[in-house]
Amino acid sequence: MTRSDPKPFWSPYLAGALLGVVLFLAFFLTGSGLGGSGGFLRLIAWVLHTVAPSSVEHNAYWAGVTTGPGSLLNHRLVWGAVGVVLGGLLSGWLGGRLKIEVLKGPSIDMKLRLAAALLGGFLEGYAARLARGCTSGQALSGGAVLSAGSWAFMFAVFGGGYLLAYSVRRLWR
Amino acid sequence: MAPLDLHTLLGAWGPGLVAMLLGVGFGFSIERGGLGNAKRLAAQFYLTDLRVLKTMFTAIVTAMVLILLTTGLGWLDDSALWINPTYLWPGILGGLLLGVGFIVGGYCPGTSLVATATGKIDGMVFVVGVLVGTWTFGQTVPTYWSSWNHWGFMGRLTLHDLLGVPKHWLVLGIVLMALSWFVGAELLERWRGELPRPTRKAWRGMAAGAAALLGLALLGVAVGQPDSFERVALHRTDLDARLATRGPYVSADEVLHLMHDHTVDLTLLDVRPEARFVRFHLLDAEPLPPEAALSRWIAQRSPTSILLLVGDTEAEAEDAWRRLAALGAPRLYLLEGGLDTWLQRFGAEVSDPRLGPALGARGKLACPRLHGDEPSFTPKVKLLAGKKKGGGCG
Repeated sequence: MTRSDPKPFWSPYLAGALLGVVLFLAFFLTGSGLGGSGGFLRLIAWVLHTVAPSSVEHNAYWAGVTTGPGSLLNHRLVWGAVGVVLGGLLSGWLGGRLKIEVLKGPSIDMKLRLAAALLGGFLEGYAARLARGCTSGQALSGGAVLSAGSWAFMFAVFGGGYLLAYSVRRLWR
Repeated sequence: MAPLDLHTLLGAWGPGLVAMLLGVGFGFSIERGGLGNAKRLAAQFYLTDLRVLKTMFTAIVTAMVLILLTTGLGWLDDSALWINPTYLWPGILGGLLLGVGFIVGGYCPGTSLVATATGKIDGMVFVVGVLVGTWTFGQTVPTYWSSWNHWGFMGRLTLHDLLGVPKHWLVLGIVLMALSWFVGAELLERWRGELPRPTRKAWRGMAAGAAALLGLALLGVAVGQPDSFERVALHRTDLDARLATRGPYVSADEVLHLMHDHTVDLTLLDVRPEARFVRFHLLDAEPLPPEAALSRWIAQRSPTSILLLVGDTEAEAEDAWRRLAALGAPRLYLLEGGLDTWLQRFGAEVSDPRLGPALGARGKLACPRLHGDEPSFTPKVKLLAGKKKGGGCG
């Protein structure tokens, strides 16, 4: 299925304009923007609620997530995350970019890359909940409706990345 | 007017279906732009390939300009939009930590889903990390619950309300800022020299896109944004339906109790012209801010405080209630029967203070004493538990 010759990515401006129209449609149709990490949150809350309901009741955070209206999984953020996977799959397939591989810098081995991916994911999973949203729900969505806190968040993300980039350059360069 | 009620329009599965289709568009654009690839993403931080900045800010300003135009034309109600509330310090700390996770792990939560979909094993491992991190947050946040909820909390604060500039001018300024960043990004990429030079056709496309964006932003400035009176005209039916329930009307006796309750954060807003305000007003009442400052005034109020509008008559307060409600002010009430009823209730035996010398808030009618034998009433104001604030009268 994978074509031998993947097509180049679009111009980031063109992809960004398409994403901007999708983001606008999200606000226009539903009143909210797009989410990325909220789907993860509801999945974890659902698992906890299923396997250890008492731990959920005794924790203010999980209790707040699980007592909201509607079911945990039949939620726009979960459906949105399913859509993101399907959309990525569609675009990758059309572009001949579906390939089982590990993406890493040239000077590290696969084990270190996967360990770094796990650590980075862990930090971001924590950070996205601390900040009440990630690059999608805070930076993109809050940025487009000019939320003051979302703009502060966005500059902090770039700040955190640039601060550490030099120290971890071996991962990527 | 948008946003739409998808549940009513499309049935129980409508909101989920629309969310999934929007997600497809989201994932598709991310993958097309190369943001499903950790090496392309990390290159942002080594200034060799700035596609993260370009894609993100193109998306933000495109959506921003389209929202500006549709709200300006009265097609979209911006008071119904979800604007992320500002929790400044948890947001900044979370942002820094997320940036660190980004440069270490190579993705963000949304892009890692796309990487997973296209077969990137590092993306799948990253997803596992996000799930564990999310779980860890839920297990640890109760230990600093109060800081997480109150540290730098500013409510539904927008940049235009913070800076006190009209929204359309701010959007134009952000568009110009983004375009200047894009020019800088192109120059930086040429200087770093790791990407091929854009073709002549690509340059033409970029110029056309920039011109279109700037044109739409200028159109947004020309159209402007509706003021509170125009918003009332757009929402008249809904606003009148809310008033018809009598939910927002608070009786003089309940208002008196609220004024004496030191645990309630109550703002009394006197909607009458200044000449009548200086003659007599309730203790601690503030005059209604002028139209140009109204939206900003609402944004800068504490989101937990109760706002009660006072006029000479009920109808006078209703007009202001509609304007403030159309601007999205939460926890908004008005004095039932106005000051006419208030003065009859608490000062029937004395002459009307509004007709004598200018008293301001002096005199017992500005804050009658609470005797404890007042008739009982059914409370209309929904109080939030656990909020303490000093002040109050009496």
